[in-house]
Amino acid sequence: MKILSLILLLPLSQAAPIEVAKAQVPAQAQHKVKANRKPSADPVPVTCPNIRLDQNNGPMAHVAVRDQGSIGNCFAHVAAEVIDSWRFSHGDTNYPFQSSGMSLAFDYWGTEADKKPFSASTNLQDNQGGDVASALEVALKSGVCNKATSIEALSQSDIKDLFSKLQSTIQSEQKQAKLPADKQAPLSQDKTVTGFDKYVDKYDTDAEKELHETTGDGPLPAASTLAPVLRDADADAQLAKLLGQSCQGSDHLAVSFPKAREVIAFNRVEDYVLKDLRSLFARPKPQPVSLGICSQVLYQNEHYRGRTSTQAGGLTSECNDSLHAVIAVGIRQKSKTSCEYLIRSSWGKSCAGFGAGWKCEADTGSVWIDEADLVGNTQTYAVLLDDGTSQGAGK
Amino acid sequence: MKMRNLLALVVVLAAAPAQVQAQAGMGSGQSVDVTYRIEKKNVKFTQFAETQMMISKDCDANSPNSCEAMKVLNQISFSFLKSKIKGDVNPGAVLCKEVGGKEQLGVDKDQNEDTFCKFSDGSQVSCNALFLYSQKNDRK
Repeated sequence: MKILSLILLLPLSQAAPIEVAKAQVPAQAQHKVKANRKPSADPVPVTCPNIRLDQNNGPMAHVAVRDQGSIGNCFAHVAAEVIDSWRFSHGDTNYPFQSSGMSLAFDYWGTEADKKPFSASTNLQDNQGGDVASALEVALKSGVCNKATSIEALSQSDIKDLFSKLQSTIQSEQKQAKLPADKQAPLSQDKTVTGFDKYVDKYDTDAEKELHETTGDGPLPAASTLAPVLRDADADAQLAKLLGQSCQGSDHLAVSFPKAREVIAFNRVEDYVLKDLRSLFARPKPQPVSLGICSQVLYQNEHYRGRTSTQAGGLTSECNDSLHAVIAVGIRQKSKTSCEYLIRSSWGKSCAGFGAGWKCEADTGSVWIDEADLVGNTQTYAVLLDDGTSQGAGK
Repeated sequence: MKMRNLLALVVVLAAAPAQVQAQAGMGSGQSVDVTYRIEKKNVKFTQFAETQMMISKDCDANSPNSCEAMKVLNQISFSFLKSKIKGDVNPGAVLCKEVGGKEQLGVDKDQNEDTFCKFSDGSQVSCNALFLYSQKNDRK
């Protein structure tokens, strides 16, 4: 999740409420803030709501904890959790259907390819990431897949291997210049591209079979569908789109929810963000709040600060390289003048390796984080508000 | 195991020679048996309450050489990797790759996910445990 991507996405948010502030590119030469500097505490006594959205039939009570492994798709897992929270608190009791973050990520990457070309090496290996609010928009248009039967059921290393194999084959074919003039020719009508056809045949008989054994019916398209895609000059992006939309029937779900209210936090005064987050949890029927934060605060140093100023400003370059989407699922009193938030990551159920200063909630993948430390590392946040405005058009 | 992974382990061993001894408490305390679905198979793990570590049921968590997963847990370091982690990834999963393991997605009965690291002898450990013990080893 990069600042640049936020700027690119701003046109999408023009129809959103005015809370969306204009992002500014932080100066490259920003001075680094001392890691242990605490933001100024609100000296006024505060009463924090005591809320756990992940317990007692709260909207997150039936939403499974995700683990992204080494793939940079936290934004999509968070979007999937936000969607499921909305579904389960608005009459949907199909709890076994948990939305797939991996499928949504491919859908997003395929869609975004028009603006920013998808590359497996960049998006899967270098953790390019994405934007939660835009992933929600993609889900409104395309729906979501059941994670139990989608490509998410594959191990992360298998997904990476799949792209590596496809990439090397595509590159090899292109080098040999044996592609037919009509790249979209159906496989059955073109047997002259021997190398490519052999690969597709092999893919069909070996890889697909093997992957199907992992996932039951399997999330991968048939070789006859893949062949023209693989011949496309923009094969990576086409494949991402195909994998994102690969679910069908009962494994696919059209979804409907309001447009997310998104706030760019780093160019707001910290005090505004602090009070706004509290107010989001003080509303009736609160929904979880997704946050883009500096991941270092979770594990390197609980007093790490990615914001360069308590006033409107920017983020350190180190933080910009390590932005991580998480989700606030609870709030409680920490002291007479401050609250703390329960932050769920997408790194599995354990939080034992997180910062020693954070209170870990075992088996929930969540830790309690001081609100000032959270705000001092927040780039952006987004929430679905249950006020009936800006209803999305689900299919 | 790739050359650079081997090198990383050698560096870790050189920096912390005492780590070949079993770590007190790694296999102590309360534990429960848990099952995860990994690649269409049910895989049993022992989960320790205090650390939340999950390790293959067949591994003896009190013996540093009982399986490949235990050997790695006793040697792994986070400090050499810190600068390599960028973005939002699970640090434990990155560690897994660095020490030559294969990251695998496990799903429990409630569809909660955890990533596990599988080694050449078939033993597995939760990636979060790799993350936790890499930091513990560095503090020694």
